[in-house]
Amino acid sequence: MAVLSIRGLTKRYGRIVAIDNLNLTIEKGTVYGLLGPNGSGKTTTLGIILGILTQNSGEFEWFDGRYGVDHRLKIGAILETPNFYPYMNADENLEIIRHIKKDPNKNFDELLSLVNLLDRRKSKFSSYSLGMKQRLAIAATLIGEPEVLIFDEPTNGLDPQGIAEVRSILKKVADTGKTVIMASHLLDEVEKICSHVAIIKNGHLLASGPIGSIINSDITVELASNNLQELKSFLATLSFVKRLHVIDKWIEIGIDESLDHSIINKLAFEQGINLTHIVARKKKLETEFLEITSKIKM
Amino acid sequence: MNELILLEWKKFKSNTVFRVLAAMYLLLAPFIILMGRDIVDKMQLPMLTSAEIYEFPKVWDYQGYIGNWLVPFCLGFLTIYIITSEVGNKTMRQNILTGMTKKSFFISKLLSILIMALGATFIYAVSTIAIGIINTDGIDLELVMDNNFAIIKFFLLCLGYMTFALLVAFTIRRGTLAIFFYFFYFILEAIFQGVHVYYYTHVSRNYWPINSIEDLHPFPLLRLPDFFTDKEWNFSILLPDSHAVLMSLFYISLFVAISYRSFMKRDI
Repeated sequence: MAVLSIRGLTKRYGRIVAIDNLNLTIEKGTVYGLLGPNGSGKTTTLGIILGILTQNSGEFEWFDGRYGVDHRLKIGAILETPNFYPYMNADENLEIIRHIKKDPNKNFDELLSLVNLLDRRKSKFSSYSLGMKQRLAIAATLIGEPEVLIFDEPTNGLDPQGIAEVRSILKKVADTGKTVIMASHLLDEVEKICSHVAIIKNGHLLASGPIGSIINSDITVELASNNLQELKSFLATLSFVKRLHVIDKWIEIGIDESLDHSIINKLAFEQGINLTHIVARKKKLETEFLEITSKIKM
Repeated sequence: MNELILLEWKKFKSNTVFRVLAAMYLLLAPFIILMGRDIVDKMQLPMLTSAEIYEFPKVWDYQGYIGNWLVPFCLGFLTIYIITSEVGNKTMRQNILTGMTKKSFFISKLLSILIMALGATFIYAVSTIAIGIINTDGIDLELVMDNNFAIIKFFLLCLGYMTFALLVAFTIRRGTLAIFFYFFYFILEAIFQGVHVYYYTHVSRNYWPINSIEDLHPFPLLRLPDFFTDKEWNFSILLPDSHAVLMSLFYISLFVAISYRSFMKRDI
């Protein structure tokens, strides 16, 4: 069953087209990532489907129209930054959300415990760190038993510890079986949390579907030795190397993410090749985009 | 409707600006008229005297005139604050994301204005009756209620200044700029009136928005025959009560309608 259907959505800001004829259907129970670089139209898309921006054309429908104009009461959402009353504490701010959601449950203990804010519940929101603000925002999205949760760049601006905490909470939330829509420019984040992905660039939907069918999970390994030609010939003999490119002073290969890349060093050494450089990394989002774009053209 | 009023109360009951402005109004509105009593007592007719100011039925006019200053300064400011602070903190956006409709958000602000106007009118009525009773000899109910149309005019005066603030807040949205423009408009309108009279000396100069609202409770001495009236003009400087009421009703409706349209049409 579709919780959200978007048909031909277009939004312009003057001559700039922020979203161009976007079509997307999100099924119940999926954890859907909207992936794209900054300025690609992710937040604009979320803004429209959440009723704070107006599209120039196209339409969308939540829950097959089941809840009418009250559909947002069934959605928990954070857009861009956590927005609360700075002079209120966590309890008072959550009470505002509860009031709007018309939720009878006035006890926030469980929610504040989930986001590790129980001991700071009486502190003013303005005294919170960005990580705490973001965690409070996540707690707020869970008020009123929403059917869908929407997070827009939930780890933006956080330090590594904050990122780890927020991701861990999001993972817990995603595991509850709720439908989650998450916008991010971080491929790694989407891969770790989402089951489905839609890739957006310059307002265009490039691809959408289950994450495995869209995003290549290979690891890229950069290798160099004193004799690149010899190294290239050796790498070509390895069955687990999926792709191979000579780039300037090193060679870039793709291997499966489950493979320990140190095996390459060992095998090369056995062949009398001394590696002078070996670095494994995830592909950059831009690289991924280029590949997806080229796939689509094919 | 009760839910929206309760929500607004929860939002602002612990807010310092709200508390300070509300307290300022609560303290000043009933008593400011008494502050210059020593000076007033020494004045001679036709200037102000305590008899003129504090006794029924004139006390209704003088206390009402105080509203012309206090309502825009305290309640107009507060109206702008309760709207623009929600824009600045992005809580307006979050309220909509959470589930409010834009219409219900607008109505919640309108209801806040209505409640504040009713509260201010209640303070006006109670304080005026108290001051009048203390200072009037040979008091009777008929004398107290003489000029009781003043209460309705005061309510409209509050609504007028506050719906103008609503319009400014919803169209400008940025707190500092909105507050600056709100007060600057009072000067601007005086300039417009001057230009109006310069090119077209006609009674229509009295029908500008703020002037119409102000004339609900003008400075009472201006009501003296020909007092302050320019001899070159063949019309009064003040609107008749009925015209002030009708024009205020018209402007209040216009301010609300434009605010609503502007808010509903624009992105948040």
